[in-house]
Amino acid sequence: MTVEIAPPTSGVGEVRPPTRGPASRRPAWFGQHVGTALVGMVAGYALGHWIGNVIASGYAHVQGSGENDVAIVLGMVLGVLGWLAGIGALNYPLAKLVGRDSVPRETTGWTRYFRYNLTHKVVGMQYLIMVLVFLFTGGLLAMAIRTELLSPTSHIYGPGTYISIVSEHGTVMMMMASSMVLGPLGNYLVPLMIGSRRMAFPRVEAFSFWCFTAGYFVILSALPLGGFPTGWTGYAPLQTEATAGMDSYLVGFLVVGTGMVLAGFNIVVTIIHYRAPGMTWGRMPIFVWSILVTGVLLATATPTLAVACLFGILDRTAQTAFYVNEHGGSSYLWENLFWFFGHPEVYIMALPGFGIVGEMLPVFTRKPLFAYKVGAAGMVGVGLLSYFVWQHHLFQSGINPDMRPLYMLTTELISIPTGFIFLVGLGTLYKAKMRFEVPMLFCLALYFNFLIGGITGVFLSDVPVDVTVHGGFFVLSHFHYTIMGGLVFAFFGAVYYWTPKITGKTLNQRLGKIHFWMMFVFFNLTFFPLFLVGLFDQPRRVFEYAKNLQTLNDVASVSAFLLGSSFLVFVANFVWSLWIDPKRAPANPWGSNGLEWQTASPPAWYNFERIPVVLADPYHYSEPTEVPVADLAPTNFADAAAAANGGGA
Amino acid sequence: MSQAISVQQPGRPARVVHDRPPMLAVGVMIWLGSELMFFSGLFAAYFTIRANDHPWPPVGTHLDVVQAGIFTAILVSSSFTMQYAVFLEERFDRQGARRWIAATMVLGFMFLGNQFYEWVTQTTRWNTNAYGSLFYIMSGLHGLHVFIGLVAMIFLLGRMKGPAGDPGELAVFQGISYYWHFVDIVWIGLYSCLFLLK
Repeated sequence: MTVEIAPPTSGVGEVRPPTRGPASRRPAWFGQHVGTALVGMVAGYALGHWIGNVIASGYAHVQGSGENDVAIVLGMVLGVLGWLAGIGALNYPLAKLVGRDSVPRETTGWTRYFRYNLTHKVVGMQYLIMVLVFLFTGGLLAMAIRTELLSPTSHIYGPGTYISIVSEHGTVMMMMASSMVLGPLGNYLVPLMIGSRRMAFPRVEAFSFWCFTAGYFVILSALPLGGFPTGWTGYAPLQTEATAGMDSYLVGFLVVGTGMVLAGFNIVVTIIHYRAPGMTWGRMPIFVWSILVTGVLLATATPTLAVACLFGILDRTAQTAFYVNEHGGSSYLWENLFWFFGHPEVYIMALPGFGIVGEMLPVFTRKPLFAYKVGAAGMVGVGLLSYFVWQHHLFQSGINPDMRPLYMLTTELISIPTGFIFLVGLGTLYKAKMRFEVPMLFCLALYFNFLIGGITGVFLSDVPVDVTVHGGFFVLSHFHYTIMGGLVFAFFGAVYYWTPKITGKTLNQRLGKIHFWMMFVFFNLTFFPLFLVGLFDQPRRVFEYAKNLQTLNDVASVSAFLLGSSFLVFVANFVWSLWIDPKRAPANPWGSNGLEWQTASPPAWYNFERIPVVLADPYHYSEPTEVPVADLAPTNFADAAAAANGGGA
Repeated sequence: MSQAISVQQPGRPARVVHDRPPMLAVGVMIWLGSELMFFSGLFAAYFTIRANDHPWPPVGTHLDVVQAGIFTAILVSSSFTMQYAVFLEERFDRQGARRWIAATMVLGFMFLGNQFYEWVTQTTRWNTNAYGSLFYIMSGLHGLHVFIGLVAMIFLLGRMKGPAGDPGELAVFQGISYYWHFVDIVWIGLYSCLFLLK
C-alpha cells in the first residue's frame, strides 16, 4: 500500500506545504505566469509562421492559393509550445535533461491560480473557472445563432459567417465545455473522496490543464482566420478544401485531445493507486465510479481523434492523400475515425452527470443509494458498449446497408445499462422525503430532461426514423436534451453542492432557485419547439428556413435569450456570495456522509491530517445505528488498515 | 512502496518481487492502453484505404522486404536484451543492467538508421499516393516512439550514475521495458501490413 501515515508536519511524499509567495523577495508579476505564457504564445506563432513561409512559399500548391497552411499550422504548433514554455510546463523535463532538479515553489494567495501549480485543488479550481469560461463563450455563440434564426428571410450574417458561428459553437461546447467536466470535479474532488492527498502524476495534471487552455486559443483563432464550414464534426472532403480556419480546428482538436488523454490517464491511475485503506471497489462513491469510466474513455477513445487530426493536418499541408479519394485515400476514413472517438465522447459527457446525481440523491432523500452495484455496473456497461455503436452516425453517409441492423441493435442495447442508472435514481427517490434544495432541483431536472433526450435517442437509433430526420433539428434537439439537459444541469447542481466544500462559503439559495427555474423552464421552451421544427424538416446549419416555421423558431429564440440570461443570475450569485457578501458555510451543510465532507472546508493543503481508514460506503442514511464512514485518526494504522481491507492489506 | 523479497535460486542475490505493482507500472500500463488505441487508429486507416485502393500496393512501389525483415528481427531481439537488463536489475546487478541497456540502445539505433535509409531511398513519396502517405505516417510515428524509448533509456542511464539505493530505479526499468516491448510488438504488425500483405 502506498500510504503516507505521518501527520503532515512537513512535506509528505510529493505533497509539499505551500511557502509564502515570492512577494516577499520579488514582485509577484516576476516569474512565470499567464502573462509570460501569452508572450511565449505570440513569439512562438510569429516564429512558426516565419519558418513556414521560408519552407513552403515556393510550393506549387501554396503559390496562387492566397494562403500558406504550412505557415499557419507551424505557427499554431510553435505558439502552443511557446505557451507551455512560457507558463513553465517545460522547466522540469528540460532541467532533468541537463541533470538538475527543478522543484517549483508552491505558493499561496490568488496569484497561484495564474501559475503552473501542481496542487490538485488549485488545478481543479483553474479548471472550474476555465470550463465556465468555455461554457459562456459557447453560450454567446448560441445567442448569435438564435438571433439569426429569428427571421426566415431577413439576415444579419451571410451564410458563411453563420456556419462559422455554428461550427465554433459546437466545437467549443463539445470539445472544451462539456468533455472536460472531469477536469474541475475529478481533479478537485476525487482525491478527497478516495482519501488521498494528491493525484498520481501532478505534473501531468497541470500539463493537461495548460494544454487545454492553449487549445481554447487555437480553436478561437478560427474566427479571425475566416472560420470553418464543417460544423464540429469536420467532415472530409470539405475539411481538406476549406480555408485557413480549418487549421485551427484540426490543431485545436489535437492539442485539446492531448490534454484529454493525459487528464483521463492521470485520474484512472489515481483511482487505482491512491485509494485509502478500506476504500474497496464496493465502497467507492458512485461519482468516483463515473469518473473512473470517463477517465478510461478519455484515455482510450481520444487517441483515434489525434490520429484523424494528424491525417487532416498532413493532407492540408504536406499534400498527403489520406482523405483524398482521387489519390487512393478515403474521405469516409475521417467519418469513421471521428465517430469512433465521437461516440465514446458522448458518454464522456453523460457519465459524470449521472455520477453527480447518484452522489447527491441519497443526501437529499436521506436514503441509501438504491442498487449501488447495479448503478456502477451500468456505468461500466455504458462505457464498454459506447465503443460498438459509432456507425449509427453514418446510417446516411455511405454505410453498407446490411451493416445498419447490427449498429441499430448495439445502439438500442446501450439503453439497457442507461436504464440501470435511471433505475438507481428512481429507486432512491421512491417513497423518499425529499429536501428540495438547489442541488436537488438540478438532479430532478436531469431525470426529466434526460428522459426526453434518451427516449428520442431510442427513436433515432432506429434506421427508418434516422433516415427521415437525419441532419435536421430533431437530432439537434435530442443531443441538446442529453448533453445540456443532462450534464450541464448536473454540473451546475454540483457547483451549488460542492462550493461550500471548495470555498467554505455558501452560494445564495434564493438566487440559486431563481437561476434553476429560469434555466429549467427556458431550456425546455427552447429545445422542445426545436423537436417539432425538426419533424417539419428544418435542416441544421442552414441560415434560412421555411416561412411557416417562424413562430416555433421565434419561441425557441426568445426562450434561448432568457435561458442565456439565467446564467447572468448564476454569475451574479457566484460573485455576490463568494466575494462581495461572503457567508461562512457550516462544515457539512447538506449533512452528507461522504468522505470529502469529513475534513475541513476548504480543505487544508494536505487534505487529511492522517490518511483515513474507510469503514463503510457513504450511503448509510436512515439506519438506526449510523456506521461512521471512516476512522479519521486511526491509532494503530496498520491494524486498522488490515481489518478494513478484510484481512489482506 | 513496500517490497517483499523472495529467494528463488540459492547462491544468487534474491530477486525483488513487488507485492503490489508500483504506481509507475500501473501508469505505464494505462498509458499503453492509450497508445494501443492510437496505433489501432493507424491500422484502421490502413485497412480502410486498402479496401478502396486497387492494386495494392500501387504500381511503382518498390519495397525491400528482406532488408526490412532483418531489421525487424534486430528490433525484436532488442526486446530480449531489454528484458535481460530488467532481470539483472531485479537481482541488484546494476553494472550488468547498464551494459544490457546499452546493447538495447545500439539495436534500437540500428533500427532507426535503417528506417532513415528507407525514407531517403524510397521512390514512393508521401504525396505520391495514399499508400505512400500511409507508409510514411505509420513508419514515422512508430520511429518516433522508438526514438522516445531511446531518449527514456538515456535518462535512465543518467539516473543510474547516482549511488545505488534509488528506490524508484527498478520501477523506471520496468516501465521502460513495458513500453519497449509494446513498441516492438506494434512494429511486427506494421511490418506485416506495410511490407508483407499483398
